[in-house]
Amino acid sequence: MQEVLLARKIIILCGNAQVDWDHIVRLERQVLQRQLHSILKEPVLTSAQIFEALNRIANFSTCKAKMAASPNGSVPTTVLLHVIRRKGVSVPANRVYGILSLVPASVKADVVVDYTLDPAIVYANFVQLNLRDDPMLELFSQVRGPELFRMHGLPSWCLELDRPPPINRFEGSNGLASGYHAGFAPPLSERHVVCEASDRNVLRIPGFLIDTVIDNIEAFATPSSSQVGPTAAVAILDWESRTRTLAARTLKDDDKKNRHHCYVLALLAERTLTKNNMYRKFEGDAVQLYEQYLTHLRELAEHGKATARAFDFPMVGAIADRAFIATAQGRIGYARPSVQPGDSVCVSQNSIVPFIVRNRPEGGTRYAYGRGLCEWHHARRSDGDERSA
Amino acid sequence: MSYRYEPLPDTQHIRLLSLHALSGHNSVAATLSTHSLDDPVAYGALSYAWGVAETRCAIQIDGSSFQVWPNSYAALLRLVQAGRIGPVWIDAICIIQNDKAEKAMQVPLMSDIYTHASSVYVWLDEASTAEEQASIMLPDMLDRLEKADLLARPTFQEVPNLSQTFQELGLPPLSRISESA
Repeated sequence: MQEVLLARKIIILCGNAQVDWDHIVRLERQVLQRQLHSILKEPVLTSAQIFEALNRIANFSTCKAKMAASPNGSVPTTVLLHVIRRKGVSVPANRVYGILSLVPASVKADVVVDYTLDPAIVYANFVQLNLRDDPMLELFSQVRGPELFRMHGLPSWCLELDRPPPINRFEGSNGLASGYHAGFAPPLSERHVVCEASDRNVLRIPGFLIDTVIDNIEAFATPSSSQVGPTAAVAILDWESRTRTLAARTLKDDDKKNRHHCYVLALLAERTLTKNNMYRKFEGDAVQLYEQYLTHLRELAEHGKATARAFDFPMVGAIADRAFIATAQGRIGYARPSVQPGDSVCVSQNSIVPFIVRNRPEGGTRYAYGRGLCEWHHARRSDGDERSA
Repeated sequence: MSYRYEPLPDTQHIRLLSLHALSGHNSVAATLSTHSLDDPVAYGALSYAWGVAETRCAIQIDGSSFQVWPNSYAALLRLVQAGRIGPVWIDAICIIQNDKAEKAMQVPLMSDIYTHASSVYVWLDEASTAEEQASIMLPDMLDRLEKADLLARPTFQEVPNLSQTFQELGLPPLSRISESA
């Protein structure tokens, strides 16, 4: 794959025939534009073969265009993983080593090419490095939007040690909406995310330790009614101020304006998606909307009434009973009210929704999760310290 | 006598295979030399599917026998037959495959190897006569297609001449492209 994507000029050789890659791409465009698929079909090709070939050509063209447009000349890792997970290789480690020329320099620099390593370790290390730099892996479990949309099925190519049946009802603190379904469109929720390998009371989860909680702002209780009064408005404004301050201190983007935008965008997405059917109300300029929300709260706090009440339920109701957290690697997000500094942030294999877990006092590899236990199977720390269950 | 590699001097060096012109029989002969990526040397890179064939084919490198997969042999033979006898980089020959340390040293250079190559040759497979004819006529046919009035959006039925051309040409089997990628 990388030879095609990196090449300055590609010549396809087929027996004595020779075709420039550019001609193949031009042909693909003509076939699509003029709907000429049918005349390619006879005598040897099936429709499926034709569409697969056209799709492959389009993928390569797109990747080459993305590389040319990318500031660091790399292909998004999610795209690469999507391609290589289906690709057969004679040396398993080459799934990773074969795309090193295409990944961001920050990832490539830390990959140790060592053919003596177990391929599973090669995969795990590579995923770990990408998790570290994945701009989409925020703790806002319910964020969605064009710039935060995640690709389906990643990184499920990696380290599939076993594949037991999925658990389809693995609920979070707020029901399925904040469990592993969070942030995904319905088809994604059917992925193999959490697997039950053994023991009736212990979930064994393959995944990765990615971060540590270093600070948190306590949750406030849900107001007694859906309407927020002056007292509650004052408390919420104070909470908003403290979370904003913590976010500004934690997010590592040098651009303060962008930092604030990220904070607000995730904040709004979290709230709106928590309450189904409310998403449409908050389309548009996120920062402007957030400012309207604060104005609304200030009116309530100062005058006891506000010009609009539409914000109360979705905005306040969704954030209540959740702690706001900051992590060592510059992430922010929400967590259960019981979260504490020192808790671990983990991502299970095949998923991008993080879970916050806590080492049990007696140590070992078992972590407390809610009222139960889970084992983080083959979880690895950033420094490579493997914690195998 | 089997070919014996010379070790690479440092981590910036690669090996390049210089193919010899075809002489007499359909056999491939070449010279393997070492070059620094810092020095501007014009070369091509060869991409092909490794395959799982049990048999091997012999080529001559610096007068010694070297065993390669049938697919890479066919690709090299094709390059020689086409007169493309300049230096070429091919992973199975230019990297010692059973030397894990050298592989570990060469893999990080792949980016430079492919971006510095003047051309990358992608070998698919042998072709039928119709496919070879199609490849010759493809550029002209594309020009004709692209010059047609796109705004009119002609349907297949409305451009019988074009469709006839396609059928006569028997376009290259695109499925082969997907196999190589």
